[in-house]
Amino acid sequence: MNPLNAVFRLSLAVLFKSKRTLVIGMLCFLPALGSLIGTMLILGEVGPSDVTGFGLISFIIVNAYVYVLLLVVTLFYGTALVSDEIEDKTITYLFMRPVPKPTIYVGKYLAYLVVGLALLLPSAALTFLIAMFADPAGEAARHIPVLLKDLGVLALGVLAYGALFALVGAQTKRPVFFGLGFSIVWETIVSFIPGYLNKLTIKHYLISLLPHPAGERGITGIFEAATSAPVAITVLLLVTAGLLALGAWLFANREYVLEQ
Amino acid sequence: MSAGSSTSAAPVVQAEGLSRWYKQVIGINDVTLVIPPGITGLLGPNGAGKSTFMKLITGQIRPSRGSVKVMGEPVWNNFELTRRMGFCPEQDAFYSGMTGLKWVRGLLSLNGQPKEETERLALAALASVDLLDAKDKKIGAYSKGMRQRVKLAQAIAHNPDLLILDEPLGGMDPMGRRSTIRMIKEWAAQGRSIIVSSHILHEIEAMTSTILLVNHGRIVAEGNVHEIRELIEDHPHRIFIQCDNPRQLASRLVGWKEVSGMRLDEDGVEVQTSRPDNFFAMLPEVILAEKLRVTRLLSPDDNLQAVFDYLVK
Repeated sequence: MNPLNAVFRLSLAVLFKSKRTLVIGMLCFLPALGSLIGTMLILGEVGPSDVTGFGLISFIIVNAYVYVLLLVVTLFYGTALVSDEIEDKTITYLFMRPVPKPTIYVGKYLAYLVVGLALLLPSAALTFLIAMFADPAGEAARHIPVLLKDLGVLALGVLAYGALFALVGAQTKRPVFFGLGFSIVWETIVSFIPGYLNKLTIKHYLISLLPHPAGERGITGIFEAATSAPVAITVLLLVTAGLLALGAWLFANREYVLEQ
Repeated sequence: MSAGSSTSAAPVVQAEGLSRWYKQVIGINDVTLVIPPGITGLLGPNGAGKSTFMKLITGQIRPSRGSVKVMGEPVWNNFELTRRMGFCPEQDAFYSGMTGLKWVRGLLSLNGQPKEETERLALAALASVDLLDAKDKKIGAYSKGMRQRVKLAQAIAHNPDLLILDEPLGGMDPMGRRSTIRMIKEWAAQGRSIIVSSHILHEIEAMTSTILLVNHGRIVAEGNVHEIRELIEDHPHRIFIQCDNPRQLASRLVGWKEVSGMRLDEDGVEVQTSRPDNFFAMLPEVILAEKLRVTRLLSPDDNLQAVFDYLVK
């Protein structure tokens, strides 16, 4: 078996069996529950009469997925890729096999991608489809391209944030705290600062790609001058590739001293 | 210096001024040695530097100073070398939720063999450590001894030339220890070199007579057990002679230049000597001349434990 494939498969088996997957998996399906409740309220004509299923899903995708769940999934899985192996002292087994360290790093990242996407995309699609029941049938079909774009944005977020947090996990002793700090201070607070500074956040490019009206992108969407889709996608892919390459190089050249 | 009596075969490990420290703490300090093929025991108390040495020779950490080669090749980031090397770490670490077979097979798959070959080798490795019956049980449900054996299985599975085993008998019951020692000897008999560490002397003694004594990050003695024993021949060695007239015996021995100290008991004399061979050669003559009836002759320092205790003091 190809070593990259072998690392990928082994890491995937470990990730799917972790308790983390169970907990975060349940968390990921909470928006679907919210969507169900919201849809029932709309159909029962409870609350404001101008709320539509599409409005509901716009709100949930932006506020629950892009602002919260995307960061939670990528932070807890990305940082754990290497740090879990160090904490559990299992990294020795990987280093004692004829696999270049960058291949180990990339193989583990690919396994993370599968798990991250498997947790976020089906739940987002389900949430979307439930909310569409609140709108007339024709309307719902019209919004399917929006769903696909939303899933694409989430996938790009999984790629970019994952590469970032994997790097953090491979280089710091308390990666979750560092990652939380980054998520709160940089990705959230900086997003509110008008001007060019917010273009240094990953979130700016994700928000720019969201196919929802600015007001439904949350407060940052109102302040931000969106970047064009081709530029945003290019930036996100370059950031991912750059962070992944840097992480793999640092991982290969760092020694991990396991505590006795 | 060589750890073995034979240095003609290509060494498995060569270290030159090898040092490794962790901030202010010394792990290994200025170690120069050659480890020959065969079984070599790395013996020392906990914290002596055995694990640091093993991490250095498996390329998990880099030397702070000096160099180390394994089978003639540098170790750090030399991932191809791991095809010829198997390592059983001390830590009781596994991927949770995996069965013994899945774990060994998963690690073995990293060696790049075809799937069928991986399966065959994993099963053979589990069979060699007597875990075939438990192959489908989760490792979490294994006993400590079984977990030690499954770690050995992943180390041996790809048929390496060199096995490095860090405290492989830790936590095993006496039966498990015995069978593991037998396995290690069998693997060596198949032509593999094995470096095995322990802080328990008789475990090492049961596997090999070629040992490295490690303490405070230094190799305090190396070579054959008997050679190491000779290292302390010049140092006081206790001999207890139980006889019917200890005072009479003591009065004869007190003038001997071989005797550096003496303690008189009711039933015998304990002598300290720096030349036990000379002492033993001369003792029968005195016993015969004085017509003493010797009922017991003990040399409490004449075993490896005493050598070890002395050298690591």
